[in-house]
Amino acid sequence: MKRQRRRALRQPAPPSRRRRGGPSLGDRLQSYLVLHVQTAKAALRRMRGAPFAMALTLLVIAVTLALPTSFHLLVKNLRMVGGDLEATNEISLYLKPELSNDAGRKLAERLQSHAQIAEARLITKEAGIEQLKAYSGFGEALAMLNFNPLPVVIGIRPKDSLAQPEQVERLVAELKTLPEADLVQSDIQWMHRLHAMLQVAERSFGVLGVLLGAAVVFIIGNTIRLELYGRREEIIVQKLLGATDRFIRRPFLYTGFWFGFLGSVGAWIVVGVMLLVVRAPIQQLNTLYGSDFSLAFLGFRESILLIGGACFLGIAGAYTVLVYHLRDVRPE
Amino acid sequence: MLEFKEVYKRYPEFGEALHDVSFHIGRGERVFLTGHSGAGKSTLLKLVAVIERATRGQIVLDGQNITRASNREIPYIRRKLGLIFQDYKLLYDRPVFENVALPLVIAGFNPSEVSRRVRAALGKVGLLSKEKRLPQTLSGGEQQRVGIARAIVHKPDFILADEPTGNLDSEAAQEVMDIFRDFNEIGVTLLIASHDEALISRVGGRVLRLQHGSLAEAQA
Ligand SMILES: Nc1ncnc2c1ncn2[C@@H]1O[C@H](COP(=O)(O)OP(=O)(O)OP(=O)(O)O)[C@@H](O)[C@H]1O
Ligand SMILES: [Mg+2]
Repeated sequence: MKRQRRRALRQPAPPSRRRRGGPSLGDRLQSYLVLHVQTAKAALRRMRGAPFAMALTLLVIAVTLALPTSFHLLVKNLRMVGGDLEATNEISLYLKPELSNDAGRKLAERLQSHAQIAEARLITKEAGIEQLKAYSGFGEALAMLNFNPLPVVIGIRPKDSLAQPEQVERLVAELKTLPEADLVQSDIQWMHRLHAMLQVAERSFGVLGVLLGAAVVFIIGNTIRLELYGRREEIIVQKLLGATDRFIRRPFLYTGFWFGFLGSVGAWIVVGVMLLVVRAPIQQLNTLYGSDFSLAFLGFRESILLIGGACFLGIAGAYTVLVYHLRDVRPE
Repeated sequence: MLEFKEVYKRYPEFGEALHDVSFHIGRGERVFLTGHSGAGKSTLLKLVAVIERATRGQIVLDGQNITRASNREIPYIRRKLGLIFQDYKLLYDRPVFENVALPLVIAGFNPSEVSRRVRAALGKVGLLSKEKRLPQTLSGGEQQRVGIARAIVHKPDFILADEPTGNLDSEAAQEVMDIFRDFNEIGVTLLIASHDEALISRVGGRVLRLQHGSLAEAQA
């Protein structure tokens, strides 16, 4: 038996020493790819080995990512509302309540010839109450009133040349000085306020996003650090057998990747569920106001950005920890 | 193959573990490193595998001065060696096959080549039937043979073994030594630290004797 063993040893041992241990380039490439797939799978398997810890970590990551994502969606939807309103760039001139439809009609005709006004449209008291009945849902309550509380309103569309908001505001100021005017309301002013608010919101979204992104890096990094110390012995053995730092880092980077990927998919689902939850009341508002506003969800690009960004954060978190802590894990 | 030139090793917490050690080991030689406990045998082997760094002196391995090796070069130095540890250093949560495959996976061999070579190495140490077992379910001698299979699977030119028979009874120790001798006969260089003088004289080979960190005598 021993002789057989010896012969087996002798046969495949050519003395060309340099080539003896090294795999070829094609082999290397193939095994490199296989290694990556295997490492990714192994990292996932290892995470599944501690399902409770994994679920908890993923939940924390998902919620952390869902926060800026839903904030972004809120701003995005408000912007879309804003966009709709902008199209109706109208000034509403409410006349003093004692003025009649006829007085309103005269004023409208006068305004129609104003240099900066494209259209002045009369909304009589009756037309106003019809609209209110139709859209507000207060129809029954209004029907019980035996008088019409609404003033005459003139809807004014400024000329397109008034692109500057200040010019529109000057027109508004001018209209306010009319003796017939009770209240002048311009959507454009609202638009300005809304846009200013959205700008603030977007900026704070940026800050929030950076902070929570850092939090995700930290959460994933910390998880990786714990795993690193749990697998100390294994790393030491790998180092003794000639493993490079890259080889040792790889499974941990995949773990970071998986946490980022699964966490962001979780965030995507969380935000989706949130949207479904608020969709029902929005639909009610729609039927109430006759609007056709629908909530927008994350688009394809935004989803890719969320998931890709989280994968990157996961890998970055893992890498940072590895750079600092792999140095401590040495054979000696 | 390996040359030590006036090598000193000082541990900050301990003092001088190796003192002015010089020797040369030629290719294909079989050398035993012996000496009392604490003489510095393990320290000397660790210097060769760059697990520790020499305080002074030069160590040349296969033409490369490893005392000046950068951290990035260390893995590639270790891949040239077959390291065998007294405490085996196996991964206990992985079956025998994966333990033996580790040096090949690290070096980037493709899976079919890996399993071919692992089976060949396990065959040489007589553990082919136990490739799926976890190390804990094996005896000490068998675990040591897993460690040997892992050290030879990538066909190193130079095998370093630290007390490879320390935990084995004399029969198992003899078996392990037979395996080593087989390798030596096909041209693999051996450096084996051991204080089992009886076993050494039975197997035969050049002996380096360490005493309190100094080389006492070198005999053929
Ligand atoms: N990491 C270390 N730090 C401090 N001192 C050390 C270290 N490693 C070894 N030593 C000391 O260096 C001396 C030589 O140790 P070494 O392990 O090389 O001896 P050895 O010949 O292998 O002994 P044994 O036969 O017991 O294994 C010992 O006295 C030990 O205490
Ligand atoms: Mg020792």
